[in-house]
Amino acid sequence: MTPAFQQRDSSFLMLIPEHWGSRGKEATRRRRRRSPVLVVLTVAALTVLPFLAYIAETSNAAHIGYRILQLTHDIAALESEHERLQAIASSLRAPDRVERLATARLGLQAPRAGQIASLPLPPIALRHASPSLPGWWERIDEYFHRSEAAAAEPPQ
Amino acid sequence: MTGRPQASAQRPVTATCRWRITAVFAAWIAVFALLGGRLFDLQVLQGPLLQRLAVRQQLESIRLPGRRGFILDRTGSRLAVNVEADSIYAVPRAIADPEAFAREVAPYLHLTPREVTARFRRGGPYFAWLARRQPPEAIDAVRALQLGDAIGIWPDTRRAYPAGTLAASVLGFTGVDDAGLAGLELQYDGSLRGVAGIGTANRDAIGRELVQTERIVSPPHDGNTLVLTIDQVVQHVAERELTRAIAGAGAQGGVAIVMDPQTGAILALVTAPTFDPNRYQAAPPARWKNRAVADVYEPGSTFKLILVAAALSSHAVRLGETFADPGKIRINGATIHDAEPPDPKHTTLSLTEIVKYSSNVGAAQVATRLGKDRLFAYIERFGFGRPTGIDLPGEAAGIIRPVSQWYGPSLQNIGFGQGISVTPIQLLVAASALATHGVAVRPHLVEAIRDAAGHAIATPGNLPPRQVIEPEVADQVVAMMREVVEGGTGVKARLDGYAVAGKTGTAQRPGPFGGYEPGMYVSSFVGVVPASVPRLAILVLVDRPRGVYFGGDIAAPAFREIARQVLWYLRVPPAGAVE
Repeated sequence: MTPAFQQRDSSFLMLIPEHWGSRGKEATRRRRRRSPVLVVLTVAALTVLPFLAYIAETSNAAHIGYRILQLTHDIAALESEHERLQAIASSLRAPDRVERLATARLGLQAPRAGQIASLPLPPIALRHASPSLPGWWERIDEYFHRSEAAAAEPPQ
Repeated sequence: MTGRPQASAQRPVTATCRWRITAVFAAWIAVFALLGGRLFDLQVLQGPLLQRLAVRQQLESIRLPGRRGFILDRTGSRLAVNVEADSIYAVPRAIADPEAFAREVAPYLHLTPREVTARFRRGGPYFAWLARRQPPEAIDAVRALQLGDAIGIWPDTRRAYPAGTLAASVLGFTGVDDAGLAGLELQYDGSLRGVAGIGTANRDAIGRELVQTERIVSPPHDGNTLVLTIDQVVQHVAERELTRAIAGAGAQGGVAIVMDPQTGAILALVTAPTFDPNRYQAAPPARWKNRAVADVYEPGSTFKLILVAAALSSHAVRLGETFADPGKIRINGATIHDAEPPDPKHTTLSLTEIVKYSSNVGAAQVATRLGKDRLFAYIERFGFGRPTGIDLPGEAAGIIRPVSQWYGPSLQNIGFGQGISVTPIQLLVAASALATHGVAVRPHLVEAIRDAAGHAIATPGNLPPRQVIEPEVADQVVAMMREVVEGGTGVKARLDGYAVAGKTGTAQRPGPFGGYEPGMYVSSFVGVVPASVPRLAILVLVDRPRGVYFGGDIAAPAFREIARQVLWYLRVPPAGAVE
């Protein structure tokens, strides 16, 4: 027993329960443990905690929103750049320009009459040329090379 | 702790202490009363007003752009696209010294300070356009001036045509507000135009949009994409050869059309002189018009194809029948003569020879035999006198006078293509109908309309063809057209390895005040190739050539060059191929 306990014990009035049994002893022990400051702090914390969580969530959402906004602007800028580059690519592929470069810079000439020949295939060649199903290796090869093939020649 | 003063806990509350407690309590009450009053004032009395102000300050209306659809050629090459070109506006109320501002900004906008000031005045106190759709360099330069609230940048796009003048009269162009003003841009404006959406979002203290508060009021829709039947390579070939023909003949203009006669798909449509749709304001408005569909001309001898088809179909003339050709003939008070001096070897001409040598005298006699009503009926059956329905704006119907107004030698003149006006596209459709066993197709420029996701939502050109003449009659006329190229007026259209069927035309140009302009002609050639299974129907028309003006000399070589290169490009093998 500490002296302080003794003093408090002697200073405060106590209501003695009518039945001083085991329940009364336990209640006394509980009352001794519960500090009012702690209770107040706990209640306050429990009250404030949802608000803090809400604020944290809102702040986090705002932060992510700013990030999304930034990314949206980036996407718009990239799309705009993509369209600009597409326009440039189309102008570079313009037939007039290609022909001008081919004839003036590379010295190429358009094929003249008689330079184009149609080669009829004999029946035996036709039989050999009948389409056969490609194997898995050809399919993989075709998958990796089809974009170049498509770019090389316009579909007829 | 034994040292704690026990007396302090039991010290009596003095009057002073009680007064202090009361004062503090009263002060607290007063403060809270003031705060409560202010709260009541803000929340209740001024609540609605402040709420409106807050909404105005925090809530932002967002414009969600809907982009205009692309225009692609049949291989997917882009003919019309959108590029970023922001606009610049000023806030006149925020400008302290307008003169100094104008002097500072004007050089970057390629304007004079006076023009900048004038644009201020056109706008209101809070908004005035300074320059619309500027290149990125100009925008960056203006941003670098750091003029704060006095100037603003409005995100915008501009229509661009990467191939320059290629197919300009087909594509047309758009105006400053992205509305189609000519060509396909105008015809399909409703499909191409994107619809901007509207959204709302809150702004933070420094004006940034809070994405999480964004609400879309009406969603944006991008415009549809047009996939054309035009092939930019075929278009380029046709443009180059027509330009050469015009330059070689010293002519003032021309038209060339390349069409698939089986489907009506236009592979190339050229009008010359042309313009750059990126800078359409720099060209005179007369060039914006598509002369292939909007202008009419007298077809001349090419119209003899319709005459002989009508004569054979109506059994007015038999195939082997012959007509005397003395070089000139007088009918209904008018003297009709051939364009070229009569050949002593050809004093009588069969129907085939009338076409082959393009005899006006023979055609006049056939027309006389046919009669007004029957010729008029066949002219209508071939689609003359009404628009073909090609998907371009401003198509003319042509000028076909009613039979009651055919005075004097009108019947005979119309028989060889004078006194009647047609559009180039009408003549090409009629000639190609002869090559496809009498079936006329509807010419069209748009193969498909695709939505923003790439799905085809419409195929405007997919219309059923119509039979305009009996197949056997059409075949007979095509055989005559082959004779024209093999040994007639159109030998310069002959192409090694391919059977060409065609007809030359040389017509006088009507004058503005009646009659014909002296020395002014329209030279033309219309033909199909290969004649047996036609892949191409081509019309070449050269307006007002100088010197030599016959269609066989001016237009037929251009036809041959276009046909030769396009057949090679389309991988159409020649009939008599080298092994």
